[in-house]
Amino acid sequence: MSANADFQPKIIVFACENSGWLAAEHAAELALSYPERVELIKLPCSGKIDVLFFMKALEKADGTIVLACQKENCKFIKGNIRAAQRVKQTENLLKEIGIEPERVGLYYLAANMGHKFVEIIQNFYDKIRELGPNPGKVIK
Amino acid sequence: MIIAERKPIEEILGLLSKHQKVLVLGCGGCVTVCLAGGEKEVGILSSQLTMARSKEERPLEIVQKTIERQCDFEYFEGIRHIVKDVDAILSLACGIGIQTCAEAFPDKIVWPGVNTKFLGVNLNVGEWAERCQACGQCVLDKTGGICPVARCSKSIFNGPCGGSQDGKCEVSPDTDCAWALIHDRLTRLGEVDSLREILPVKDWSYSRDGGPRKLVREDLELESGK
Amino acid sequence: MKAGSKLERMLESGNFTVTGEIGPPKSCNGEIVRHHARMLKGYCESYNLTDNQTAIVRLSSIAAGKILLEEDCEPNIQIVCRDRNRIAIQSDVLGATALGMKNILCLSGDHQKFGNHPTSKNVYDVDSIQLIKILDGMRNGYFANGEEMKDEPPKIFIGCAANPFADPFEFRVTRLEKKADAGADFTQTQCVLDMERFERWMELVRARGLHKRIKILAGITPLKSVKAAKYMNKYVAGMMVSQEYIDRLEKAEDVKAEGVNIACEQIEYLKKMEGIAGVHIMAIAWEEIVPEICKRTGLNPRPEV
Repeated sequence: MSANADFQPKIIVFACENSGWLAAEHAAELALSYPERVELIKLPCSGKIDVLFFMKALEKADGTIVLACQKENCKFIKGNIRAAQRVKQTENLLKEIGIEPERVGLYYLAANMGHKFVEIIQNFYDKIRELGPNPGKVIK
Repeated sequence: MIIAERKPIEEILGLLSKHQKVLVLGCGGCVTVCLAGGEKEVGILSSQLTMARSKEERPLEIVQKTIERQCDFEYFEGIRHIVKDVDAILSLACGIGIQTCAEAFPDKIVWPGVNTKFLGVNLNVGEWAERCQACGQCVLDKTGGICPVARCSKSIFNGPCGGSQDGKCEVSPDTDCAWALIHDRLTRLGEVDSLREILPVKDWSYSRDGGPRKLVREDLELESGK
Repeated sequence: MKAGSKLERMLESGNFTVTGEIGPPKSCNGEIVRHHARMLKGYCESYNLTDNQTAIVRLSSIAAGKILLEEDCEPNIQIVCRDRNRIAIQSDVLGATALGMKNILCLSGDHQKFGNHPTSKNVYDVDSIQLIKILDGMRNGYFANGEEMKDEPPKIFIGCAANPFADPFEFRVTRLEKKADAGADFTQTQCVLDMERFERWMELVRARGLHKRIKILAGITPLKSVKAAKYMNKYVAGMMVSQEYIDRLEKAEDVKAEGVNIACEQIEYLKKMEGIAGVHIMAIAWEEIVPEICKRTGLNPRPEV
């Protein structure tokens, strides 16, 4: 468990507008709640995610994920496959500088999965809370 | 194209260890195409560096900039005002760009951020291979358009040597035997008999062995004495 | 006669010729070379002295050649293109001939990646065929740059390697032809451990009449173990060991004895093959077996020439 019980992680979520983003809206319709310090950014496809987006996110956040369509269900065929590759590449960049690769992640879901969306966010939030603050967060 | 590869992050962190503010300078030429030192790589590396230094609680301020080319002096003029305020420059250009940068800013420390590997071709995403050694006197006319200088491990002119097997080089099963390629291509073209001719000893003075090379073309001069 | 070496005289006489090989040590202990020279003396016309074989630093081939001369054995100096440029090579050729060495074998050399200094820079200023041409020019009184020698030219009997087991197969014959064109007098082949392929290669050689232009000595290496045979076949580029030999070794009670049997049978077979001028016995790290092989195949004692 984290040494700091008051630690509230900041999480940046990149969401594909065909799945993750709609699932978030679905969760809102169902009035489901999830941690406050979670920021959502819409992507036209999970394949739009970039190593640089993840890195920029981690300069100010404690964790970052991308929400992609279910496997073999990408509107642009290979977007979610490429997203998975970029998560791997980011993990390597983090490892190189001694930062936990678990701070970046990829989750698959569909547009009508409001509950699943909240579950993913809550689980990742809890994982980062246990991991503690991102040691690489940029000091100005 | 010139193929380069980013230096290991520990090495770069070591080079920058005494600085508080640096310019990470990308190049829009070859290193952009080979994904080693273009605008995007500048961004990713800068992110890594600032995070690594924040982790050590020794913040590093980074200014990011990518110019058209670092192998031409004129493109450095536009960044003089940025260079003035930084402790050092980390250049992600090839060895040529890094040196031109250092020459453009004689009073500034310029660090190399990449290792320049070779002159080559892009075979696949993330895969490049050497094609030319800039030996200064092209022999491709005699070797079916495949260069023995750059692509034979021994740079021999009358190959293949006794280490060629199944089209591969003795040095590594991942390396094609250049002379097997030459032989096969000339056979396809019906020109294999040309290989019966002994290619003479090479004049290496046109290559690096003649000392650092320089090219002057007077026909291109626009003003006398310039 | 080009150099008048014993090797040249034996080949010219038409007698079945025998050459051997001595690997200089990884030390300055010349006694090791002397020991092998004494052990093999009288069995071969000439002994190859390898030049930093497999790119491992060893006592120089020319220095080892001097020791052989002291023991009344004739050296065949190997020169590889890997470590020296045309300046150093020509200088060494002059030096070796000044010391009384008459046979020189021109090779590309194993890439330094395989040796004990894989981080070194290689030279390859010239390749093995160009080297033959340079040596041929030297014995005719010219340096590689075309400059005429002011003094007596070095007398050299020029050798080269041929590898029927490398690829592309047909081109191997053309390459030997290029070596003959360049001025090579004799060739020693890679160890023949696949007689069928060797015979096919010899057919092509004879079809071009090459055996009449260059003396061909077939390489013989007695196999010592099944493991070594399999390793050479699978991992050494440019080497082939036929399944027949591997099977024989596997079935044999005494593997080494079977290896010697195979070598002796090969020599007997090669003696009858058209275009074969002799054998080159390479028993590196097993030099002591050479006398036995020579005696069993009637190659000892040697004829006088």
